[in-house]
Amino acid sequence: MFCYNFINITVIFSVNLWLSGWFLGQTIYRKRNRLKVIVPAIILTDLLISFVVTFSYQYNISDWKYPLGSFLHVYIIYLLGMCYRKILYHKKLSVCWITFIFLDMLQSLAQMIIFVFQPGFVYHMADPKERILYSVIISGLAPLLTILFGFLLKRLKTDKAFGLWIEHMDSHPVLFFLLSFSPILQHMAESFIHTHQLSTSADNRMVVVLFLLIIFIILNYTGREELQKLLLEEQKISMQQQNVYIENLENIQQEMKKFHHDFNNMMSGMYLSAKEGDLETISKFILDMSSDFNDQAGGQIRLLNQMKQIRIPELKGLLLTKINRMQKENIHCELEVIYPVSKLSMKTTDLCRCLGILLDNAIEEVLQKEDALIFIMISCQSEVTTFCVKNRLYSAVDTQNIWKNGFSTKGPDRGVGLSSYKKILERYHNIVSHTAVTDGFFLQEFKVQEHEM
Amino acid sequence: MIPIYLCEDNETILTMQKNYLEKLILIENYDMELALCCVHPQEILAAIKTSPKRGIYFLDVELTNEPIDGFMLGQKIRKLDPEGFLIYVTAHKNLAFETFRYHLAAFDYIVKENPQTMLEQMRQNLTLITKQLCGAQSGIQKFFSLKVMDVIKHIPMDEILFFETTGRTHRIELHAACDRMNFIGSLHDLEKQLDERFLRIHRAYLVNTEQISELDLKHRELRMKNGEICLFSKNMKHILLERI
Repeated sequence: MFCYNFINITVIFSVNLWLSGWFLGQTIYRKRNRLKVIVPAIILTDLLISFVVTFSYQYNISDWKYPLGSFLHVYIIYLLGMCYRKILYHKKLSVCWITFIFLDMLQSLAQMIIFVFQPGFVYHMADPKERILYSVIISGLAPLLTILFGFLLKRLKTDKAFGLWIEHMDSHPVLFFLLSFSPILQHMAESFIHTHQLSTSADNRMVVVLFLLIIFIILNYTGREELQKLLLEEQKISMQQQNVYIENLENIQQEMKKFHHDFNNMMSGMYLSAKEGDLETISKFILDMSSDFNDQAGGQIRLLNQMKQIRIPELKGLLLTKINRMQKENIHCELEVIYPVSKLSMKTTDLCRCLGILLDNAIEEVLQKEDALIFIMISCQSEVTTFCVKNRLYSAVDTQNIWKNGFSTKGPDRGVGLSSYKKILERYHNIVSHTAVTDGFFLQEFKVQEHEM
Repeated sequence: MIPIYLCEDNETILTMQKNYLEKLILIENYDMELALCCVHPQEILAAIKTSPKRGIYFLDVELTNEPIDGFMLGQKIRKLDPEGFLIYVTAHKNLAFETFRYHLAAFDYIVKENPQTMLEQMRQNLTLITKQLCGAQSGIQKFFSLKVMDVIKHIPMDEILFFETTGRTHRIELHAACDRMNFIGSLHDLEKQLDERFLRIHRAYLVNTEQISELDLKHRELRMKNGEICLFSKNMKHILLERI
């Protein structure tokens, strides 16, 4: 009996693992020597779950007077599942919990659908023939159906919705409880129908299937809502960025107007000097004028000239907002983009997050300091694009510790930036990074190679 | 004799620069000669090819009516003369000097807004170069040169603490006093490339033995001078004890 269960559970388990990899895009947390932990963890959980299942069968836990037994059975499995996910994926406990329940529900949905087609049929496990049939269904047909579901849900983009929902789980506690208590609710629904004689017991499974389907629909719906919210937010940001851009242009226009006025005055002054043949004053006038122009509108024009080279709208928006902030804070900023930047082998969202973190850090370091200065260099060569942020340094930097999560010189609840920067870059095989302290500047740089190495 | 090359598309400025430099070399008695003054960048490249030598280059950034700009010219010169001094002359202040320095290791840049300051800056640059050349002959600091994608980075050997493999394949992380970078490579190749100071003490660590501050034999750990900790393998214990 234990062997049968073990085989069944192993199959179900591997489907579970595969689903979480393929469907939810979660990958096993890998590091040196992790294999030594991962393999035993999988086998141990497998054994434990099989043991629990066998135990509950042997002692007929599900036939206890109250449904407590089956709840106990289900929740022990859930707990075990959560633990194994915690070990394997290194995610938050609540995330592990929900993900396991979600996957388990997906699988039990498949099983239930199969059983719906055999109404009233009860397997007698004591009979080896029926036991084998049961095994074939549980570990043969059901996984196939589960995979089919997987494809279907992926088509419906439920996977993305679920992923998003997990990220914002705190804002949707209802669904969290709904999922957590689904076995109890399921049972309640069953017994409700039973007591009200709404249907024969054979249709009970149909009810369960319906119940599970409803949960999936709710899940899909909330996830989609989240997606919509995200989209809206993005649009809002791009609107803001456009406003900043227009503001910039208007500023330049204003300065040009001012300069035009000054220019007329200077010209009349120059005219007088020319008439008198005073060459020295004239040459001084010319020098003054060109430097004046540089001071007034030159900076902005220069900035927009560099900005023109950036052909990735999100990147442009990010730079505009950050540079705008720097100008408001009186930080001198030099942007260098000598060749156009149009495409990149890096997700734009990741790029913006990384660059955003570096820029925020740079701004914070030089904020309200004398001679605040930040250099931004984006250099797109034939196959490699380099992003470099450099800021004047006012205090010593511990180049080894800044990477640690929670490390910050600015008090608690900080220091998340660089560790997530590092995490994002680690996902890419074609990116290398460099951090350095040179000549009183703090330099952060990452290089993206176009062709996968 | 170090050759000086000038490339400038405005002939008036070119003559002015040429006359000034000729006079300056005579007065200051620099060990330099004006090798070529030209309008077209191709002439410089051809001249370097015929007599390859470490040179000083004053290059205009904006080369009108030419197939390549100052940056590309710099890249081509770098291929022929990796150690030469590149000084850029530009009409506008908007030169992306950081980029020039990053990719071409440009020495300086000069704005030609005011002819007087332009010539003065040229003189200052030549003085600096002379100083640097003298200094280089006396104290030689060893550098670890590493090609990272499209650039070569130089890190002082003394400052390197250790190299470490990371969880990702072929990815090495370098820990130095002021730098921290990752690149693609293998510890095995690095070991061959570096001198005897560096010791492979663990499958995942290649350490500069001069930077070790403490040895923890019980936990088989090394504490480096900056406080970071490396592991070492059992059979390296004796070699380490000998070295320190």
